[in-house]
Amino acid sequence: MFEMIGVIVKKELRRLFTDRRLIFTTLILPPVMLVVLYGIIGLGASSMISDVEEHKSVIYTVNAPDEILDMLKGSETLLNEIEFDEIESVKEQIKNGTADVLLEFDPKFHDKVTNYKSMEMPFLNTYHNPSEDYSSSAYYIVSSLLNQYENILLGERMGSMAYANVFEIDGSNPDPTVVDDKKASGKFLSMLLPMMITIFLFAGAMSLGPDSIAGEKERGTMSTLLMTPVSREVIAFGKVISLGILAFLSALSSFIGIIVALPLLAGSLGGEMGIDIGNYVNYSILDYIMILLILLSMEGIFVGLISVASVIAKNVKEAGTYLMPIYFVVMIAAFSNMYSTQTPEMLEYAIPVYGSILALKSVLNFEMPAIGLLANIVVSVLVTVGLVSLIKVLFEKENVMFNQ
Amino acid sequence: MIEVADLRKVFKLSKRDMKKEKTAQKEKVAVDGISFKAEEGQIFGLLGPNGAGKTTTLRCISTLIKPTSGIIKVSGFGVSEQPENVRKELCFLTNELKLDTHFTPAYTIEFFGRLYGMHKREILARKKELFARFGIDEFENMAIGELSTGMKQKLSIAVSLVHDPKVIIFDEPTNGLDIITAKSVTDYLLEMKRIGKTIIISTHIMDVAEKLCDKLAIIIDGKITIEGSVEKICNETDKVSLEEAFFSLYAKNMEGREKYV
Repeated sequence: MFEMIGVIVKKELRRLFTDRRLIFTTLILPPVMLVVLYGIIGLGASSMISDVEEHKSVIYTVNAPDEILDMLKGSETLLNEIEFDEIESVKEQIKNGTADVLLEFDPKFHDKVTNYKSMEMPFLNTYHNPSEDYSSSAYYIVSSLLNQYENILLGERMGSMAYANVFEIDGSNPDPTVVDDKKASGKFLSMLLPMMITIFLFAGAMSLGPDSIAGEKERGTMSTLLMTPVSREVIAFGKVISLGILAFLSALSSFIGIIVALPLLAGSLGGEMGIDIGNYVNYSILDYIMILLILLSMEGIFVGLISVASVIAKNVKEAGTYLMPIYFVVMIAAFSNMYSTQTPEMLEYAIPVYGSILALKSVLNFEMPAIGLLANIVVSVLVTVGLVSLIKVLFEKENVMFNQ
Repeated sequence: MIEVADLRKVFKLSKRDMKKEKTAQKEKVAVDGISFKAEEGQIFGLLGPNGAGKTTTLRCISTLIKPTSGIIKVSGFGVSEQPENVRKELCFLTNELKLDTHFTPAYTIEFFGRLYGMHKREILARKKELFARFGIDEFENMAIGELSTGMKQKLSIAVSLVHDPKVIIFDEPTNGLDIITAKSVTDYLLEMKRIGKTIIISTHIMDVAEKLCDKLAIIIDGKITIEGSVEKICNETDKVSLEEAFFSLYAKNMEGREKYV
């Protein structure tokens, strides 16, 4: 029996590895696309940040006091002083993105600030466009300068600059962020990786499964196989095992793609969060073994589901329509786990697929409970056994195998 | 030897099938209690119009589908009890069975040989013999998809014979073949008969039936209406040719059906 399963598995592997088109679409293209896409996103994000940083803010002022003008001149901005009747046209420019910020000061700003005891408080109107990155950035710079100016004025009123500051935040604290690098990296990875690996694993099996079973039925090659003395059970097992191996290889190639691509993405996003992506290496061999066990058991369910749909379907196209809803359910399970922050209940690990994604997340977060892992793997294996038994029964049904 | 006793095959019809068949019945009787015996060194023919139940009978004998009732024995093995042993004894050739066009003829015959439990040396010897016999040796390392239709058909025959089966079942052996390939197939069947194989073919072509078959069974509406040699059938129906005999039986059957309706 095992020898015959081996013959079928070898044939299925040969089918893929001697077909350059299939190798390209299932093993090479996904990781390359990941690296390219993440690279573009990473580069785009970095260049957007540096572009905003390099941009000289275009600031317009009306009736601005000299102190403010001096401060703005010192902050590498393009300063323009305008008259009151030009306000509307500058506002229009801000809307169009050609100007960044407009500051309209009270005509008696200086007098009112100086004689604050006898006169009313002066007004200051600011205009900016939050939908423009340059304008938002300029507004941030201006707000900070105005705060400084306000502090200076307060200091003058109180007789000393020291009185203007009530307390000092982190003035003499060299290391204000207390973060466990290992956990921070784990958190970053645990948010993205389980979701991605799950989707790649399913997509990999989905790209191969329908052709291996429904495709063989459609092309009439399945009947030729069924005419050999090998039992249908052996053919079913051979198909399922080979699909498992191929789907795993496909997911592995995508996983390598993620490993290469993540630093490109993290360079722009993770870096700012104080995360060192190089910390993956902090996972122990035990963690990797746990990840492998969870992935293999979850893959059993995927391969089982895809095989059942492919056996029932009359052709590859029909198999695709059966698999789409299953794919959506898997995606929902994957995405619903992405942002969950609560510690999972033990029973949640026992939900097929959802529990596996949860378990992957927990392992990457360095907080996988042994009972949860056991519950997850046992349930996944049981579901796989159930699905394989169903495939065996379906292979025996002539109306399914010959679609009469 | 093949023994078929009181074989009945009933297909359940889905709503879509009922609509397609324009019937209100939920079942279709494809084969209705047929019995016959095919012996070694003989070619037994099932002759009948399309939809008479010929292919269904052959598929039941080949274990591809299960009989609803009745007994089929191939070299003493029951199709329901020992399907794997039955498949070891026979080969079934039909247009429905195809080979993966991605692989080469050499790999394909080796793969099927392995599934029949043969050793590599045995497979290689058999491959050499069969490929030479059917003129495939020149093309053995080309992808099957690149072969001509005739060459593909010859390869299907060669692959199905890799395990040197005692029983050869051939559904419509010359259908869709050019005259040269058709001749090489019929010649091969006669050669197999001479070396003592049991052969069953199904056909709706009178000429093929007359030239090849030692014994014939005419199937109409899932039932055998007459069985015997061409001579016996002509005598019993009082006709001069198999074609005339067939049409007289067919007309009689249609008459009976109309009366019954």
